[in-house]
Amino acid sequence: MAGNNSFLVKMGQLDRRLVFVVIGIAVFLPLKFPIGLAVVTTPTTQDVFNAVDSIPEGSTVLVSFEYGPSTRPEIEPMAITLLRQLFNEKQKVVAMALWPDGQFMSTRVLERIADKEYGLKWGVDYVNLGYRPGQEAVIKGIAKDLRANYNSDVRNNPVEDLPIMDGIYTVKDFDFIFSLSAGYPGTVEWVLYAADPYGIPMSTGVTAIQVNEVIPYVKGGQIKGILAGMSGAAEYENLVKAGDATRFMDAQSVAHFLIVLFIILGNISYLVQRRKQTA
Amino acid sequence: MKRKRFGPSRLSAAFLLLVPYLAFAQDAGPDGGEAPAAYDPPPAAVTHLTARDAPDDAGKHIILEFERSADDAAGAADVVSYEVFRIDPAGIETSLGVLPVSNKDTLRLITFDDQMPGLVNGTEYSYKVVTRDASGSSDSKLDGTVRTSGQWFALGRFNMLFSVLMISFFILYFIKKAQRGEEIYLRPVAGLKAFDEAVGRATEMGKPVLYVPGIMDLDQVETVAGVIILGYVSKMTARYETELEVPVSRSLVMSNAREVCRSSYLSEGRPELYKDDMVHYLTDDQFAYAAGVDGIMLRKKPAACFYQGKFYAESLILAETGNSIGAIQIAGTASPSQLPFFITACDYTLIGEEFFAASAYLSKDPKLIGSLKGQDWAKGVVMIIIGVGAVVETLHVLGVLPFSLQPLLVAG
Amino acid sequence: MLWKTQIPVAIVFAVGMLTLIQWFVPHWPFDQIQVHTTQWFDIIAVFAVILGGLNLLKLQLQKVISRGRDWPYALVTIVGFLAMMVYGFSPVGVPEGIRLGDHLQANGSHFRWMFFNVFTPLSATMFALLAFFVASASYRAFRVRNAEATLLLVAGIILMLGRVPLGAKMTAFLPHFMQLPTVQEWIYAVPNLAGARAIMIGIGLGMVSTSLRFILGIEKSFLGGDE
Repeated sequence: MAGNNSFLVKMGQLDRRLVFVVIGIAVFLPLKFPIGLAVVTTPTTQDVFNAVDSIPEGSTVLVSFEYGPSTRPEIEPMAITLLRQLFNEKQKVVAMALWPDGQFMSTRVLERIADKEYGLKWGVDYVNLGYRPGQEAVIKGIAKDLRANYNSDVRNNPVEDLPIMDGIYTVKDFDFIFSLSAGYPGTVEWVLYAADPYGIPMSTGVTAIQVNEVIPYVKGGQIKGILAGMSGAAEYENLVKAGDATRFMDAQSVAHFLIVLFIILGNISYLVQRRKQTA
Repeated sequence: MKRKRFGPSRLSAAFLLLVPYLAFAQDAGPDGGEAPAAYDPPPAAVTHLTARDAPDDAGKHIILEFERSADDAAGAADVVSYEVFRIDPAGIETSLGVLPVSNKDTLRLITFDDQMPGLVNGTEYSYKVVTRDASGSSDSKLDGTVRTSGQWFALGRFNMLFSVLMISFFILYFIKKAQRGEEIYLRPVAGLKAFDEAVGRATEMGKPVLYVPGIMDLDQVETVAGVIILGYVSKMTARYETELEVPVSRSLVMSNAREVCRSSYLSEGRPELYKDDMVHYLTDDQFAYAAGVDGIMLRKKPAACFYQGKFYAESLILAETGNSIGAIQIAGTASPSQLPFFITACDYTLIGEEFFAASAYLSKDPKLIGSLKGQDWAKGVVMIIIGVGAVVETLHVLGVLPFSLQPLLVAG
Repeated sequence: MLWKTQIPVAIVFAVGMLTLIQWFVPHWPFDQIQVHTTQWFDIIAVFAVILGGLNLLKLQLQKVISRGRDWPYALVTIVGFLAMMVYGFSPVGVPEGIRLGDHLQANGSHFRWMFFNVFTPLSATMFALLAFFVASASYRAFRVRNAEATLLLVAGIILMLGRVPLGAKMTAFLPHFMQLPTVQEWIYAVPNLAGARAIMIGIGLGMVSTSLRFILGIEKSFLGGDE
């Protein structure tokens, strides 16, 4: 009995490196050998899909890239799926970035989806305006005069020569805003300085860490739904078309399950110890 | 079926348009070819076209509103587009853009913002909307003219001005009271009490104190608040002659933090202990910075780690590494999404308001303490507004009250 | 005293008041203030980067020259710093026909290669550490110490399982309102949201109060030199 107890106590004091190894294996194995668990759509993801789906055909949508290489695995699947849904519905996409590395992210995703997958025309069906410094001041700036902030796209074409930009002079001329955000400046700034004051419909995809900060705006109706981290990306992919994030969800499922197991082990150990001390 | 409008001019126009179709039908050959296309009269023009100056702005903005054509999503449902024209006093027409039509929209009212180049404050303009379908177009012109101008006060923000004045009044009133020597109660905050303990522990162990003032620049209030708290921590390290290490991720923060630390060491009478390099720059990049700070932690093994400022996803990376080296850790941030991580991994966490209040607590300056009391009163008023708002809105939704308070609370 | 405190406090007051006024006065020239001041800040911050870069180089060089502890790491920093400087600012590694500046995004440029093949995986690795640290932190900290901690623990477990397909599968046999995804959504949307909003309102008021202290010169310790 005493032996059992000491074993249980030890279970609560595992070396953290052991925890890391177990989590590492738990993530790696499902990536290599997928289980194929069915993804269940949460209402907030469904709201994003519905909001994008209800944009009238031929509208111009502003997609802002506010993430970098570190958060790419979490946000890029959302970006890819979003572009697919928009292009399937024949929407025009204007991309921009509030993060310097956001421009690298947008360039890569647009090359892959707009150019190679859909064969769309730059400046007509989509365009990448790129990054401008100034954080939220860029949003405030384009709310007043977009062309003062962006006089050319990333390929140095003057904005007035781009057919897609006909009639787009301020952020209010966009029919929809989508912020792909991993922090500041990002979703919250888009809500505060563009979507809410000018009544532009908006939706977002964020890292799981950020959800807590953004959810009050979603529930307040200022943002139409939210893609919450990898699971949000997987659910969204499932609604549009399957891809990477759905595959990653197996790994996340197993990892979450193991973390819960570790917490339970830690608590059993804690309770055994406490009983020992009070006995 | 498209709604027909009969009249002498319409009938003759219809006849003229039909002539080529009749001729085409006669030339169609023995098979007869395709059946002749039916006459498609021009679409109905848009109605109720109005224009007004946009409120609460610097001018150069006119808002147009009009109702869709009777042939858009109704009638013949064949409208292709609307084109909006601005007409200046000389009669010159400028196209402002073409609005595509899906013929599916049920919302009848269309709003169009004219903020295009060339719009001058104080000039009288007229507007015209051209409705097009495949075969023709119809115009609708604005009755009269409209001018745009800038306003000197944004009326829509009156509620915000009222809030700012109210909060300022409370804060200034209680600062005055505190200055007159009135005792103000401050609830104990465990995290702030632990500052001394943490620096003291580092001194006893002969190990350095690590201070991270967040990862953002000086344009963020949290960063400035973090630098202010650094002033107090550096006073303690100067007093106890403990090594202080402040890696920063922004160059401006580096300059500012150096100035604050220098001043602290000077005020404690230990200027010789101050070195510029105790505050040093690593990188602007979030995760490179986290890697750099983690490296410092693992190499120097500080006994106390302070994280005070604006943080993002690196918070847990820093705090878990700090935990692994057994440091006592005190975090403070106004980033709601990072609070759970800090609370889990650190010994003490200053949550939001407590973080901003830290300098008042630590300095015991009556002026700063008075401002906290004023802030609490403002919070009380906010709580009352939320309570009243919730009750009134609920009753409004239930149909008990005929009015809503929402328009008063929405900022323009 | 004049240069170290009074003039900076006067600047803070003037710019702070102007920024506040412009929010309520949309008329020219007030509508220009925010855009211009933010741009000034950015310009100053960009020049200050040089200061930071030089400081970084100086400290790392000192370490290498003095063969201080772990000096090879300092050498890696210097090499990385210089490599990105050269690839970013000079014609080295710029593909033919591509303008300097445009090469940052151009296929085949050394800068782009470094960005996607060195910087990206390194950054992703650091971010991925979170997965491990979340595990170790929750394993260590989530304990049934008291009623509040137990509530936190239970909510944490429901959220962790409810957000992944496995959680949905585990509770698929239960009525819909008892299934983990439904319960986690409720926790997110109701108790969590209430707490988050309360914290945000408090933070907002704290920011207003702190800003007011700066503008009115009640708090000036952030300027240094007031002692």
